[in-house]
Amino acid sequence: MNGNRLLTVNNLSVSYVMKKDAIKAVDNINFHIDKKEILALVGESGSGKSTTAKALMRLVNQPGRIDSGEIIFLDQDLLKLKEKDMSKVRGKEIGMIFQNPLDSLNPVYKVGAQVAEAITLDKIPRQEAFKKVIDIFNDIKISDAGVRVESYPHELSGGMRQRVMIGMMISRSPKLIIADEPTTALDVTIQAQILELMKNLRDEYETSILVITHDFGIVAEVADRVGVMYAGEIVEIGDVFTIFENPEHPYTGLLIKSLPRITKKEGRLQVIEGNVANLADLPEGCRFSDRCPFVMEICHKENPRMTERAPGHFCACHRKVK
Amino acid sequence: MNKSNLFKEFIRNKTFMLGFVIFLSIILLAAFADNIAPFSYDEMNVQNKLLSPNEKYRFGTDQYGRDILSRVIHGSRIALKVGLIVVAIETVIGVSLGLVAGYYGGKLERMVLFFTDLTWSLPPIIMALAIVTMLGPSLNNVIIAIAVVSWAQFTRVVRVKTQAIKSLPYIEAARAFGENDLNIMARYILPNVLSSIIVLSTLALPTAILSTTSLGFLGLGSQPPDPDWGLILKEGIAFINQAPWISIFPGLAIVYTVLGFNLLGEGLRDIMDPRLKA
Repeated sequence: MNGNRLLTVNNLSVSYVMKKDAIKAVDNINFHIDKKEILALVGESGSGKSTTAKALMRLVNQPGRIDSGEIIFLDQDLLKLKEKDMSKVRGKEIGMIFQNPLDSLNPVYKVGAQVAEAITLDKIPRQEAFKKVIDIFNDIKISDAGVRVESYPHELSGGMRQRVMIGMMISRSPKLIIADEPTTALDVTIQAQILELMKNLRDEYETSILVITHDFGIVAEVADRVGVMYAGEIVEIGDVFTIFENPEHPYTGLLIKSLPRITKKEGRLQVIEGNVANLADLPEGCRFSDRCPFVMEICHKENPRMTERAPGHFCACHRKVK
Repeated sequence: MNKSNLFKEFIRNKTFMLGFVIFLSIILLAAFADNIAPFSYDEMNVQNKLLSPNEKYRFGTDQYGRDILSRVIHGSRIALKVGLIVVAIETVIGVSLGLVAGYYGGKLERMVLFFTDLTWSLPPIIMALAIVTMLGPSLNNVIIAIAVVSWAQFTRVVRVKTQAIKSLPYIEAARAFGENDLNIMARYILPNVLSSIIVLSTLALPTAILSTTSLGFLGLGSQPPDPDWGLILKEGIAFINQAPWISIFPGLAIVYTVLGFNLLGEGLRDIMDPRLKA
């Protein structure tokens, strides 16, 4: 339908199977990513954003299970691939960066060797791979690349390790990079650098990026489009400017309002009352109904459907703004 | 920890150093047995039978007039050979089962655990006895028997460590950039359990040597005239009143070797894997 489309997710559901019942961590979500686009998925803890990321790689761990849906990457449905073919997609076509750079590298090998290892998966001879590692390290602005390749992970700072991880992922030039809370464990200045680096990646390597985060600040920084997740569903998705200016869903609005701002006079941060809905015991109707300031009668009866509010801007809420 | 610090720690650890010196002396004895031993191990000299230790025969002679010192020295070769082969087999079986069980989990793990517990619960020497009786007495069968009954502790330790490591982010990261299961086990998990394996292997060596000599003593291992320490000990039993030295010296050799390897293993454990102490 669209030659610019890289990934389309249709009706994806993932559940965690407990002894008796299954808990739907991701419930029937739809979204797509275009080439060279940065999409952010935002949500609180437990909203299903990380599970979505793992499902795209088919790395949902036991007792998790992908129930249904399609993940169309270019022309193939990833969920229909054999495990062997899927492991060829991982790293080569879709790379992933994890939220915990401190433990994401193998502690017993030098970081250069680890990145080289990733490159040799593409049948590139070792020596050449090592040369390429230094180029990549220079590219992602690791200073003293020649020295750093000889370091063990514990000798590097968190930000440096995250850079190495990113280097490892881009070394095989995947078409899509999934970054699961890439900056959560890092301090603010390093965060800014890593985000800058990711934007450069998109421009130089023409990769699409899916950023998973709970921080609207990061969304504003890097994303082109943003999807807001709540209790396993995407409640609003659209262009980042539209959503910041005009959040249709009350949850999105509250998330944006709860951002700390320098311009605000009040001393206190705004909070959203209550906790994320319990996935094992969801409220009747709209899942946000018990926390929503604009709750109406219909919200307790019927879960709203996604409707297009503006071109490319979808929202699932009964409330009609304007 | 950098390399020179690690080296210092080895030097400073007295248990390790004592064990290492003993270990080295046994290796040298075994390597240069032909040059060190004053006689060959099977040279009989009936006129000199049952001589007590003297200047020519430092450890005395046995009922055929063979020099005990030479036999004990040559015996170190058998002990080391059997010990190393047994430990190598144990390590390969135990470690691969432990890796597979810990990594895949599920039914496979339960099956492996069942067999581990089974071999663990049977007294090893009795099991080995049964196997050797079935296969017939020979040194090779002893090696097989001991290896078959004593891999369980490798599996247990490696399985638990594998379970702990496989849930760490770097394993997930490895999967995310397309490594297959075999590579993850061999290149990511194995190197991280290596220190435990080294310690376990060193500690398994004296046990293997003790088991071999026990089976030798029972007449199921090496056959005469091989200078197996257990076998010499047993042959001396008949003359224990007239010539106790026949049995005493191979016995001391066993104690020396087993003690040395145990010290070495414990020293290594303290340095490389303090958490294994329990």
